[in-house]
Amino acid sequence: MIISLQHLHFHYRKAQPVLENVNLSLAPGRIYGLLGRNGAGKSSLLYQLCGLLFPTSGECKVMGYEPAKRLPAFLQQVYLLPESFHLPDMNITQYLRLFAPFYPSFDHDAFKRHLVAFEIPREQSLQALSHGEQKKVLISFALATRAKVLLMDEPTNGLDIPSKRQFRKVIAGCLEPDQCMIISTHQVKDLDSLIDEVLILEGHGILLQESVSRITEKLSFRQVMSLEESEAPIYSEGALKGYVVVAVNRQAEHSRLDMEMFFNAVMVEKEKILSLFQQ
Amino acid sequence: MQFSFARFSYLFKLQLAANRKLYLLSMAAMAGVMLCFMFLSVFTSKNGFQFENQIDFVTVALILSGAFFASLIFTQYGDKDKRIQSILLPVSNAERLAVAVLFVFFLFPIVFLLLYFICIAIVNTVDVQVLGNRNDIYMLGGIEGQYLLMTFGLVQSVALLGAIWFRRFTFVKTIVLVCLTAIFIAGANDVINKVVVKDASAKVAGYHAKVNKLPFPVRYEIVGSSPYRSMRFSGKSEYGYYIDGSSYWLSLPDHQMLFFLIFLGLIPLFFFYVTLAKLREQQL
Amino acid sequence: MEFNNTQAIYLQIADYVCDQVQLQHWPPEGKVPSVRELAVNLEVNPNTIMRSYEYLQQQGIIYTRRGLGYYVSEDALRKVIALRKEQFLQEELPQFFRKMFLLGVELDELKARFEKFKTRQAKA
Repeated sequence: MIISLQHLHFHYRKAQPVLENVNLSLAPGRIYGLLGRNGAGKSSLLYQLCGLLFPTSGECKVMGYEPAKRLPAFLQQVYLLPESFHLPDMNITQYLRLFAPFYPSFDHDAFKRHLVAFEIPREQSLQALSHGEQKKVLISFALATRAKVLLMDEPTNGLDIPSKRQFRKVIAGCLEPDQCMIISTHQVKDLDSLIDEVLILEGHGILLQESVSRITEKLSFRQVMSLEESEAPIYSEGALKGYVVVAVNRQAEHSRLDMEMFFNAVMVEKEKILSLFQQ
Repeated sequence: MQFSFARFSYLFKLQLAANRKLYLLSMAAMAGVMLCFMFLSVFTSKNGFQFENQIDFVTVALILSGAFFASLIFTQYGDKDKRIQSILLPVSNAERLAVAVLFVFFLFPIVFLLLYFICIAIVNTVDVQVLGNRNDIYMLGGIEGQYLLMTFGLVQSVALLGAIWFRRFTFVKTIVLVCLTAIFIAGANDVINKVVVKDASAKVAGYHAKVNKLPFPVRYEIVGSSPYRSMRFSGKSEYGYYIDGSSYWLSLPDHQMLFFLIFLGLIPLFFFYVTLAKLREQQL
Repeated sequence: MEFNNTQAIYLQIADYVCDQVQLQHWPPEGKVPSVRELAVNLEVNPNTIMRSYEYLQQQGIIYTRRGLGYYVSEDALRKVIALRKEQFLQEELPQFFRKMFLLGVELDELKARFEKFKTRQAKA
């Protein structure tokens, strides 16, 4: 396990817990999708993993390090792409010359490739780029550091539609077997083809951690004309033509996980769905 | 504690490159302000920009601008977005502190004094050649120079701590901190003086009366006393005027003075240590 | 490639590979794109591509050469057709029959139409 949290608690003020008794084990070579409502503590969890916030109690181990110590050897292998950020007043080449040396395994060719994929001109001043373009520069940099743990907080926020597509391409071509990516997002539709495993953060803790294949093994996602057509629906939403349904997968169907529907279903029918996965 | 010279130099380059425009502008502004003030002095005072005024000017200017610069050295910790990125930069806190110390204690005074000497050279030339005043240039010598460097070191180490301790209004809060420290030192000095004088002035009075066989009693009082320095006494007659040849210095013996100076030198190290601890405990 | 919303993505990818084989874009004994290449092209997690390839390997449509990657089997075309025929008979035909039954269409009615369709296909 590359990341292991045990009984982790965190609060700013005693009366307002942010994270309560979080237990989590994450494996390398996988992309985790961190879902949760606004204010569920997604960002706080990511900050715990890179040592930006210290646990109030409990244990947090990332690659065998204690993130709160922030040893350079640890920070060289973890990269957080924050939701909002600030880039210094210089061009991309200068940025690279100044920041890349801090990361010993920095891959300059990969950085160039990603910039090409994102269609960013290299000689541009960073301040002259739009926010979305700046974000793409930072994503390229993050991936080129070859960090073993890559934490991305809402990476597709602020990206236009073609950029989201470029983002998926770049990420799909980057994942290494010894690397673990965690993507926190509201915009599930952008990223659901990238995610191996779903983490749902709710009520200050991890409510559910399941791989996409196990979810579709237990549940089926269908579009039906009337609710009678579907057997044992757990949750449904009206759509233009009939309903979209989440149901118990009795016939071993291979349906496609609709992450947004799944998230909504978990929020509304917590017990039913959790009991299904506890078997 | 981890320290790598390579990372130290990357961080140094980064700090310089990220702030180069600000630093260049500030240097120009500083030179401008200094020239303004100096020329004002040259043209408005009767005898030009005199040696004593130069001492006062360079002391106040170096210490104030130095404290200002130092209080902004960790400014990236004040803004949330920059804070995330600078905390997560793979460098150790010792390296961060070392870069800050290099900037605050070495680069800043060197640049400042370079600018100062260029300005004073120009101003003094005008002062002497054009206006015909007879003024020398103060070269930081003498007891004033030592005093200046010592105070600079102390104030800078406090300002460095203030830079990481306070997130907002860093400079203002740091100045308040420095002033409080100064008031405390002055107050402590006063209290110590009173304790010392009670005993010493009686002894000095007795000694002086015996040696000079004066027919009237002499009352001694302190005429010169500032922190870290020797104390000067003078004798006063009962009618309240000073008596010639009655001045005495009260100083520590050499070996004790050495201890005192070492102690003084350790104060910045103590502040560095607290700064390091503060850097270590930074969270979002 | 656009994915539909109903079928699991790994099966849709397997279907895509079968298409390529059937259209003979990927000839027998030819190399199949690497996992990473296809992941980038289809904007999909490489682990999902792995799953599709494993599934296709089980079906005998592709096979792996140690250290070299995946290759199209010699008899892949035959196997794809067999697999798809099986799928058609199992999944699509029952629905088709259901509609015929509801609309009262008899098999004889279809026969003439199907013959016509075949001749048109042959011409094209």
